Amino acid sequence: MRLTLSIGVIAACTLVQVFAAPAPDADAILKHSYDNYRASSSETTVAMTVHRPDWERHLEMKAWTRGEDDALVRFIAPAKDAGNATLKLDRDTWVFNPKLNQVIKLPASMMTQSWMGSDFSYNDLAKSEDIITEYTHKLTATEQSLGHTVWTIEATPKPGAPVVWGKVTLKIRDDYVMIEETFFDQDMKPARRMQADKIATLGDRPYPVTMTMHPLDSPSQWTRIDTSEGRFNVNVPDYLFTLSNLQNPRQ
Amino acid sequence: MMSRFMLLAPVAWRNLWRNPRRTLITLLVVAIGVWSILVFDVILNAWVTSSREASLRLLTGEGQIHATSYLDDPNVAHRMSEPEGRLLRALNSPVVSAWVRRVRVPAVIQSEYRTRAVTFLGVEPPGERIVSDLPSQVVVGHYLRDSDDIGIVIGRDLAEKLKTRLGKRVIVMAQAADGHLAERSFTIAGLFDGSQAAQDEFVFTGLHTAQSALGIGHDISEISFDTAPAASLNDIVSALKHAAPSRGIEPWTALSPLAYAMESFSQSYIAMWLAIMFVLMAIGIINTQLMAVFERTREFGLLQALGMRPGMILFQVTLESALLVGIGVLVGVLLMLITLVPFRHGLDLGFLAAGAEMFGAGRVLYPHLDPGDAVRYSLIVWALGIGAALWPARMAAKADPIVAMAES
Amino acid sequence: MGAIIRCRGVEKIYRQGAVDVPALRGIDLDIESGDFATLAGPSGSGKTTLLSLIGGLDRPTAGEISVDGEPIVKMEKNRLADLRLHKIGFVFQAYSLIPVLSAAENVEFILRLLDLPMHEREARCKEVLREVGLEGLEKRRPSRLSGGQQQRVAVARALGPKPAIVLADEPTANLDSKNAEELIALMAHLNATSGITFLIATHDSRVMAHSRRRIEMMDGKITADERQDATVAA
Repeated sequence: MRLTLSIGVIAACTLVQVFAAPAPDADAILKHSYDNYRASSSETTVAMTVHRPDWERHLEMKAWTRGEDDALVRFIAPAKDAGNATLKLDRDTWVFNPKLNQVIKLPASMMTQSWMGSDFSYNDLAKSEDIITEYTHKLTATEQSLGHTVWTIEATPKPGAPVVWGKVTLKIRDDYVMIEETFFDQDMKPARRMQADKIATLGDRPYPVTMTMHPLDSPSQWTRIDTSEGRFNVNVPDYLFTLSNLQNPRQ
Repeated sequence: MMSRFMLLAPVAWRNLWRNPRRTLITLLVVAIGVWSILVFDVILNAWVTSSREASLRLLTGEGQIHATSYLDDPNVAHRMSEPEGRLLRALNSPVVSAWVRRVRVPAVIQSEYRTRAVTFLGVEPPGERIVSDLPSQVVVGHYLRDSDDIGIVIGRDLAEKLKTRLGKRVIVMAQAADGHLAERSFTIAGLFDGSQAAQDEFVFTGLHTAQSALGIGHDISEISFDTAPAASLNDIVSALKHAAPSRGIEPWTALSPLAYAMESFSQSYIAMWLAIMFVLMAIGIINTQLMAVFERTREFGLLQALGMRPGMILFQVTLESALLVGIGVLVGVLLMLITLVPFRHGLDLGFLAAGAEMFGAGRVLYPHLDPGDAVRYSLIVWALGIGAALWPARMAAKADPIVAMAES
Repeated sequence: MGAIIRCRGVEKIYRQGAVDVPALRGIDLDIESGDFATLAGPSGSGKTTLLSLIGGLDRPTAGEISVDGEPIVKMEKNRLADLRLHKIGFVFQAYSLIPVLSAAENVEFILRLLDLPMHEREARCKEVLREVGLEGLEKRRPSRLSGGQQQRVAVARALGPKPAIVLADEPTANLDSKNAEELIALMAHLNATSGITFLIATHDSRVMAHSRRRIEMMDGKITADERQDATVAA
């Protein structure tokens, strides 16, 4: 059974290569898009809007990334959330709560919980690489839209990969801005969708400055991310990504 | 004495029916009292058995072995090696009817839509089929085949909460031996039914699968064992402790304190109920018998005048009460038997399932009448009833014979 | 023939609240074996009190009473009960039968208390019921017997154990004259034929007419005690 499947996958891949030879490689597009989004390091200022049928909240934060695995997010507004921070180093995640003045390493059970009440879980932050590492990718469509070529990539979980989705489809423009990412459940029904609502130049590059995450089973709730400032491939000091800095920020 | 009994018994019997209405009321009071005590006893015993079974036959077994610190903090760090040497010999002795190894750690299960905290178990399916009822409660799909099974069996209710179903992938995340988060994708092989709490808490895969997912080699979290029918659990626990002094070995009484408390307190509950019902019955008996005695003062005077000793009169009135209460007790026992007939194949508590589970019992209670209990409680009520009737009887014995002379 | 009943200086005072009411003021009386004696006098003269003291149902305030030679004034309760069972038959004014027992059973009840063997009991029971003329009614409960028949059962029951004396308290008070006459005649007949001693408290002149010894009482004292030839029963 597994053998048959493997042969099928290999055959399919071969076919794609044969018939779509001139088309760009799906893996490369995706990798390029992620690099474009995150760069080798970044410093961004972001506003997050969490919308629910009966309430809405706004959070502002500064975020730093280093390489593919390390990130620091520090909330700056509103006042009651200011100072909260999340540090991700490789596979581990810590949170700092200024009211408790305590750093907590998130246990496994917490990783799937909502991050600051949004439609993102800690895992969504910690495991953003999954789409590259845990899936096989296939270019399924190439179309023209608003002066750009838009590639549609279908990502299928590798056998045994620890991901819940049936598949993920991504739409990436020829300037490597991802404009849509749709997560399908195992019945191949769309479960949630991230959309780029506004694309502008940020720092040195085109960037999805407004993105919204829609859980499709709850149409009246969403989380929007607005990136207002961004600097990429800048020198981010290493001390930022330490537990002591998480608790006692130097800046 | 016997001849006196033969003389007075028919008189006592006939006296009972001089005021049928009053007698029937007293009979009814006693019968309902006895009925309620016995039904209470039967239901409580069924409940105790059920809650013990529900607990023991779920996962507890009759006893368990862990690393000493496991019960305080059941995580992967508090694991133990496989049993060997003396412990293995002790477990394989005939007094232990079955034992299974398990990996058991807190985990998170994730579907596309939901995430739940669960307890993740790696089990030996053939052994589990002997010590646990859970394998037989799989209602969709199938239970695990062996320790190498890579599928996962979860509760039907949990599957609904996760919005997933048989054949779908779920992710289980747990802390691995190296302290990092172990994640693994599982395909749902089966869904089990049963207690809501168990459905929501436990997820199962093969023992070896769990061991490799957590990176713990051949280590295990617990051993659950059952004892042979005639064996003493306490003796076995001491023998195992002796064989493995560095491990924690607990009988079910320590592992399921609620089930144990139900069992140990049930006698007290019954005694309390008996006391309450008895006070009510005693009020009824004393009341009616006093009325009967006061109405018959003249007759008791006559009996004395005719040469009956006061003690005999006491005996006669007591005999009347004994008959009355005795018949009441018999009627009560009969009523109880009639009540239980419809539930002889089990009393389905489905209509209050959530409430019943709160007390740890299963959904279906199997009323079982312990003849010893029935006889014991009947005799107690009877004896106490006669005791209560002694007061009116003394009033009768103290009747002044001179009242026989009084003019009408 | 000696005295079955012997009373000497018997006094009885009832306390009614703070007031002492004397009921008997010094009674000296012997009842001889075979007597058919009536105790006459108006209500309150002390007839019933004297009868209850003789029967050991109550104790005198002062004086001595003996029944068949046994002093009973200080006798223990159970022994008194036994004495009544063996030696004294009672016939009361009314309600003198055990209601749940038939005529025969009422008679037999006493015989069984005496622990008589069954065949003796049955023979005796049959005999006394025949003597009082109740053949055929043995199985009736008191509620299905007339007043006169009930009193006959009472007499039969009193006779059952062959007592030393039968004490009757106003036995005819609740009977019509025909039944009263028959009951008196019966008792007189039994006295005459079997020699059973009767002491009957009454103010029924028909009873007194049969009496062979008329004792009269007034205010707790015996005012007259005379023997007479009984009128032969009709």
